[in-house]
Amino acid sequence: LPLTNRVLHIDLNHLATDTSEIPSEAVRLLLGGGGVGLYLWGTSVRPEVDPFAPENDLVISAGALTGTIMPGCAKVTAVCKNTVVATDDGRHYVACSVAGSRDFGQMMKGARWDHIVIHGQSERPLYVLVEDDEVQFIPAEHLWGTTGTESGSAVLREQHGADVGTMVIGAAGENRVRFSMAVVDLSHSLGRAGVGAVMGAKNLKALVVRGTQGVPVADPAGLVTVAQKTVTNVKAWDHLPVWSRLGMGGGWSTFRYTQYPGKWPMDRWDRLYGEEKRLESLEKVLACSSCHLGCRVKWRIPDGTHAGEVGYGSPYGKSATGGQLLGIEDINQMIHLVAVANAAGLDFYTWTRLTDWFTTLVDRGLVDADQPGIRVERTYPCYEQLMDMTIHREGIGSVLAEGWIPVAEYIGRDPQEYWYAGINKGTDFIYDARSARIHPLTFSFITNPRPHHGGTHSLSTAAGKPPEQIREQIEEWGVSTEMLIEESPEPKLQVGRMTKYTEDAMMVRNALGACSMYPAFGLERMHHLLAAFNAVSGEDLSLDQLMATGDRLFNLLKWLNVREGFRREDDRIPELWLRPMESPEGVIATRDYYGQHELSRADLEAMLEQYYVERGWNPESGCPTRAQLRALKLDRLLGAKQTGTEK
Amino acid sequence: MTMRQRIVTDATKCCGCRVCELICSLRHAGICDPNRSAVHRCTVTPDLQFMLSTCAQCANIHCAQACPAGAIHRDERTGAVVVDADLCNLCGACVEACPFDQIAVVGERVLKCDLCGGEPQCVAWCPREALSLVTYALRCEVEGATS
Repeated sequence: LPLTNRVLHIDLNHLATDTSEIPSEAVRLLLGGGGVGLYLWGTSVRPEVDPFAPENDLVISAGALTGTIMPGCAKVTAVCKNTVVATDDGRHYVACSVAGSRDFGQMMKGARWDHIVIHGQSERPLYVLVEDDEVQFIPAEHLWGTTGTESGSAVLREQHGADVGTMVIGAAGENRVRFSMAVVDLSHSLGRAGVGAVMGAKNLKALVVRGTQGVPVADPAGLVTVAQKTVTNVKAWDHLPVWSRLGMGGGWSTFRYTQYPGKWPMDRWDRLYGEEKRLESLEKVLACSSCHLGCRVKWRIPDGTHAGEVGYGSPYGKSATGGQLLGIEDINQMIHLVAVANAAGLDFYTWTRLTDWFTTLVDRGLVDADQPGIRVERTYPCYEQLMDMTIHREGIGSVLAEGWIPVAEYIGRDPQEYWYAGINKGTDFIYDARSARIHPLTFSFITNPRPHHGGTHSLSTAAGKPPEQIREQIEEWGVSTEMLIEESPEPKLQVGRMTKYTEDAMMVRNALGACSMYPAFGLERMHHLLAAFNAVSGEDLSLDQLMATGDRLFNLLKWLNVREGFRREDDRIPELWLRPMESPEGVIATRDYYGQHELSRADLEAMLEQYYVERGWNPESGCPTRAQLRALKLDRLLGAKQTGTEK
Repeated sequence: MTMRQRIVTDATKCCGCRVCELICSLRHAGICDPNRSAVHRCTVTPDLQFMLSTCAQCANIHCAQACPAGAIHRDERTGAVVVDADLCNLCGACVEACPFDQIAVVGERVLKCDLCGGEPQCVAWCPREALSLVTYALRCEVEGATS
């Protein structure tokens, strides 16, 4: 089979299309999916482009294994410059956002497009329908401003077939709320990259895809054999019944300590948002194509004001953390807020945290309660109204819609003051390292150009795993396990060094379209993905080559952000992690992976230093060197002129 | 009493993962392609219900009766109604005859569930037990149901 990637270019300026091919030699270096996506963006968009400008291309990619039977291989990625303001001097990072899909990836690959690049800006709202090689630009005035991500998707499926893939924005994207998302197949989101706002700026309501040609496989029997191995692991996993019932990864027992905000006593949180409360509204577990786990759900609110309301996605973690932060005891009210945010394509994490910060400052008398259009107070009706105002940019909502740094300017405070999870590059974290501990996933919030884990999962994502289990996973990364994990005199994980390898593995997964939950529970290993890639493509890649590709792709992502002016000083250690959380459960300080020592700034700085050393970057600038880019063959790919960073 | 086997579906258990379609097309056509699968997952809009369907291995075999080439018969070992590719001339009469839309001509091949020789892969691979192979007794013998 040819390894070439097919690219569909959609020019919204001229309502025209074009195609191109990424040659096999380049694909061998980038694998496909998000890897080629970064390359396409980096080679066609100039540095310092305004994220709302027509020139900020949006590159949608389906992974090299997306659409195949390899379990969990269903991811699509979106590369663009994030609309969120990342620094005080107004820089924005280039991001690769990731979403699972039930239909979209399958259809894209079935249409034989590996990448769809959206260029320019339409004069009027439209959506694009891709059916194999046919592309139609269809007016969307009837959808714009009137439909959300779910109702819009329903209309499009009604129109073009129930099993088409849909990527749709809601009012938040249309109104260019900076932290807005696109929703894929109703239940998955491309978030934390401003994809919703970028599509909104392009006047692109939706992308609808139907493919009828399937995904060719060079060695069908080989693919079945390796997929079966993962399936066997899943079936033998003792945690599977819990996952299958709840439709979520770790279950409440894991969630309650990794995302504990420290405001309520734990037993109160358990009672209000625990497992039993979740099951009351859970109607059905949903899975991506090829997935044997399923981490999305369809819910139906059982009673109360919003009784009967249906939604799709993963509402429980968001509602539980958001509920505790905002002080809302009724899980159904919070699930309703998740539904409103999903329909609008609003990032619920960012909105709840930003609003909690604002409200608390009002509570403390540091910010005036009377704001344009609303009197801010810690009540559910106020939050409901504030969310609506944010989505539609009305009154104070127009400030909140701008994100952390502009809000901080408005109220004259520093976002680093905020008390939960932490903030870096204008983006709030999913996990608080004080509750979740320091491991490569939490540490990547500092080092990743986009401070979101984005799939940096490994066995070490759950704190305190025995060294021998972690060692098994590390061994296949082709690095000395002794360098990353010590057993005596006490177990110790070299988090700074190890973060490099989990990031590389994440890049491989984003290129292949492989889910990151499987490795987090040891259900699938990198050599399984390698065998699957070789079976699908007919290539004969080695494990070393695969991991080297991960390194290449992370350097590519980093380089695109170095080009935007990001340096070591932007990889800030969050002040918050150095302030112990005073919770009803006691004082919770940031501790090492095995929970033995409280960590100081010097400890975290040392980890960061180790990280740069392991990456081979200049530790002072935090940038890849020119020689390194050459060794990774990125200079050839990107053109020699563009690669000059550090000698 | 004649015993038969067929696949039954429970769409309430379906999570929409398409694994049935992917393994069917991969095993039988060497490609991951829902359009080349003999089992179908269909989304019911607007609120994400799924429908699963495949050949019922009918007692009264409409497709076999319609086939001018005599290429369709019941495999008495598995109970599956199967197509003999050597005899089939791809005329499509079976497609017209099937009341349940469960047989199709795709390229050079008739697409129809053959129960994978008695071990249907969609059943084995379904993560949610939404598909199962059942053995049941025919309520009455149908003339011409076997050949």
